[in-house]
Amino acid sequence: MNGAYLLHCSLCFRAALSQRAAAVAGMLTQLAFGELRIQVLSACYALGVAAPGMPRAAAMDYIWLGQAFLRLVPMRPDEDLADAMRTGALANDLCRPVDAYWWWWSRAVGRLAAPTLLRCVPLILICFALGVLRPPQSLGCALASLDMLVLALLVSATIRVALALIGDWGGGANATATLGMPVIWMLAGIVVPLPLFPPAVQHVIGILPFRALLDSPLRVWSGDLHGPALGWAMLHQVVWLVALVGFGRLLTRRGLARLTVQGG
Amino acid sequence: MSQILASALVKTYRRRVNAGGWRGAFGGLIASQTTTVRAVDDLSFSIAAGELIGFLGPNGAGKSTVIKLLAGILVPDGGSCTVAGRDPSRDRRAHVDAIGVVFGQRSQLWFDLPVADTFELLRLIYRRDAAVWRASREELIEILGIAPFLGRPVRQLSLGERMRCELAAALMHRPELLFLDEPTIGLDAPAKLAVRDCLQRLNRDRGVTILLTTHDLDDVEALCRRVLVINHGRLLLDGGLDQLRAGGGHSRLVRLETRGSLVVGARPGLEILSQEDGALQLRIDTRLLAIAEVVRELLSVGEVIDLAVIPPSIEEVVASLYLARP
Repeated sequence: MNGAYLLHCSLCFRAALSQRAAAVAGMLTQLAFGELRIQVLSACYALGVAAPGMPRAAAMDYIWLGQAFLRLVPMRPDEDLADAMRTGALANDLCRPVDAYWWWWSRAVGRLAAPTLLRCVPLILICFALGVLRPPQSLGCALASLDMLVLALLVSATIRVALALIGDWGGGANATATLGMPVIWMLAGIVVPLPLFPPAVQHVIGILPFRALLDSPLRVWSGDLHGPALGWAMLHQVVWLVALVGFGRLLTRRGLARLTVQGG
Repeated sequence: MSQILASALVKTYRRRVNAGGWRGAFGGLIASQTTTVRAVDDLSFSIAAGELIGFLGPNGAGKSTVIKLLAGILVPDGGSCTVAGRDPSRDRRAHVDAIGVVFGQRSQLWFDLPVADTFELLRLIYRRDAAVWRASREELIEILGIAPFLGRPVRQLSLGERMRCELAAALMHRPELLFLDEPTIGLDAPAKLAVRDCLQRLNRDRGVTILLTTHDLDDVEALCRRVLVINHGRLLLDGGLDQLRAGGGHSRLVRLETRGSLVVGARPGLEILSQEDGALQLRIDTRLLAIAEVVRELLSVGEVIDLAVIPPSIEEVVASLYLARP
């Protein structure tokens, strides 16, 4: 890839790093909600409801890691792109000899990486200090889950860009955001760890892209996914990344052909 | 040979119609109505290499849309445009690699980061020869006087400082053609002069073709030999500055501050707009009356404290141009 996209990504990363107050607020919220989820899940284990899918300790790791990497799950369409479409600032991007999609994509990656890093590092350290999170099972697990977290970041940014493209060029960003988001959260594993879903649902969840956002890397950390299953999970991430990028590029090409730039 | 050729260019926008209020809000949910607006309507013109052209018209006339069509950002709905032998929208990346664009109302710089970072990013985007780039960068920093604030985040710059940086950012890659959409909007006098000076030098020394939209008649007078005036997406005038004046610029507003009241009679060519104790406003048609004559008369009939003769604004010229059309 051209160095311009890389620099664009890192400039966006640097610009987003300045939002430290938001990161602290987010961390506190995620700690509080993490504790709440732990209590609910503990109750389920105590009643024997949740037992078959996942051992209790692994489920606890899953929840705390999920809180640390919550940012990887798209909460709304890519704001920079959605704003640029709404205000017409898009015109500036198109005045430069760059590929519009990769330009937006590199920005989305940089803009997501900064807050993710700002939240996950302190949260993981706090969880270690409190003794509620176990370190990765092995060095191999650690490296594999790091790889998969990076892939999850790329998938997440790609989904954000796609949501913004569908939203504004399909006529109604808010509609896609409100309808789609809770489903994405559930299918990524925020609400309940995915291994605890009924087996019939597991097949569907396994195919959909959303487990690539959170579930897969978290289960690699705790050693729950290993061997061929780990390979498949990584392949699942890569395949969906490629497919979603292709989808986004298609939307971009179609959108630019009938673009309206408003204002000024 | 024309560098820019627009023939029968058309761009339409679909606009949602909403009755407003609760009824409009709920009605729009059930059946939304749209109307089609022709932002650019059968527009043809041609511009030769090395020209510096003022592109005028009231707000909403379609100026920005034309700029965006010529820059390849928008795809025309009808007609065609050719810029330096390229079809701008079909060949957008190659096209924008050779042109520079500034939108006065939007910033292309990074709000949170120093200007120097944006320049570095541009260097990687355009991939010009390193020596050429460095020379171009030094030259622009010098001409625009932006060296003192290269290291400051853009959000800390004043509008004038920022606009000079915007201009530098649009020119770093030495474009053969420059499109500017209201580059002097909101600027104070020194910043405006710096921008004008830069544009003049580019045009004169390097033969860069420049098309700029503005509402500032002083910009036009200082820079342009030729103007294009449009309204409702149609061409109203294409010619020299003198033609623009002749098209509607023969009315003058005279504003007087007087001691006591001053009585003057209306007559053909002289219209009294307002008359109060100590203040008087007249409109003079210079085709019928000489300004000097009227002023002499005013000075003789009363005690004048202050007197201003105000030429019509660009909006008035354009408005009268447009109204003069059947």
